[in-house]
Amino acid sequence: MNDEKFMDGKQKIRNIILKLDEGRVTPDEAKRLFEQGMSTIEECDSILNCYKGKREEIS
Amino acid sequence: MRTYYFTDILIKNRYPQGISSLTMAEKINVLQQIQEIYGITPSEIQSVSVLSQNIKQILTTHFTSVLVLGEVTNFNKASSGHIYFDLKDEKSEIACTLFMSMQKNVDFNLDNGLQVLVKGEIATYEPRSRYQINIMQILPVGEGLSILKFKQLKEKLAKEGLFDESRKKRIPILPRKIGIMTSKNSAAFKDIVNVVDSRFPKMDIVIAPVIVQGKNASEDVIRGLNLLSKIDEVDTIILARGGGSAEELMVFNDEALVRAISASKKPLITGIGHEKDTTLADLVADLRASTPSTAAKAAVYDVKKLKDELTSLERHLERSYKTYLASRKVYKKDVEIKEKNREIAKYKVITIILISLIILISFIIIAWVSP
Repeated sequence: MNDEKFMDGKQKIRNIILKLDEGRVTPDEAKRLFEQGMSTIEECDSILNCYKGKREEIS
Repeated sequence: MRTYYFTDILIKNRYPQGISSLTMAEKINVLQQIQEIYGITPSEIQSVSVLSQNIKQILTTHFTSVLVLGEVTNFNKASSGHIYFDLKDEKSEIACTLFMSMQKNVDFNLDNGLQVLVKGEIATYEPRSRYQINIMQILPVGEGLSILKFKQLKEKLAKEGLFDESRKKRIPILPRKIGIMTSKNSAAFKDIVNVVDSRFPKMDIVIAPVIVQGKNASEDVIRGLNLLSKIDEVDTIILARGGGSAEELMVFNDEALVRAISASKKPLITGIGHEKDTTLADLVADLRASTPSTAAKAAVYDVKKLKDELTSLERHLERSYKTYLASRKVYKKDVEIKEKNREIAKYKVITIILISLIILISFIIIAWVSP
């Protein structure tokens, strides 16, 4: 479901930011977290862009 | 005319204060004069009180139990607790009294304009020769009956917990598709589409056109709900209808429809009528919006705001990482300087020890060489 993916994604990014702000990670771990965060942002963005504006009618 | 002649006779006989104050002898005298002048037999004449008593007797004998259908008007609840009103139809009105002791079985709001069926007895108030219905039972009919039915069904469903907040499903922020149930060419549908287009132009929509008024409307809405429920990607459903009279909105109080909404696995938002209208469908829905437009707003988030949120998170992430890296560089420099200082200190100590040793050895050699 888009909703869950999007919401989970945002939460994941927030957690990464928190860890980086705390500064208790190694440089390698920080790099990995940063890349993971950027990739999650891309995923969230692609969720927003997956809509087509279709109008269907059922009866 | 007869009143005039009576007065004339009374004046003639010098009784201007009226017949009620006459003595029996004087009354007999008056009656004799009437007989002489008009030829009316005194035994045919009744006093007001006797006539009033006779009317009362006839009414209370012949109308001990009446059933009357009419509309309530001139409703008044007295400080005593008794209720007074008139029951009317196109041509006539009749006074009614609902004593407080008879009000315990009235489980609806009695008020002007309600159609009611009244069961009671005719009672008269002798001193004023007035008659009225003393109500023993009163039942709402027409719109009144609908209100009562609505109230009873609402209580029943509430007892079953259908309106409980704990049953309500969360409305997703990003539904894959929105399902819309309303009349296809209605203003309500246009309003919803306009709102969706303005907030999330590429949102995918599935419309199930349904009849939202009249005899088969409830069945049709249930059919539409079943159709939309079968489409996996429809994550939110809107049930909408523009404003209308209470009677037109009655379809949304149908028990079968309310139960179908309650059983729906997908979250449902209602946007029925106007702000003031609350139907049972509204109460059972996961979210009640006051109008179709508001329902659309609740179903679809502003995509621009969602994108802005992502942009903001991206910037925050980049900033946090840069800050982290910067802090690591400062830390590294600190460590290097400290290590250098430690090395210098170490060499200083070694140098001092060496110099001390050399001086000591020099003294020993001098002492040993000298005689």
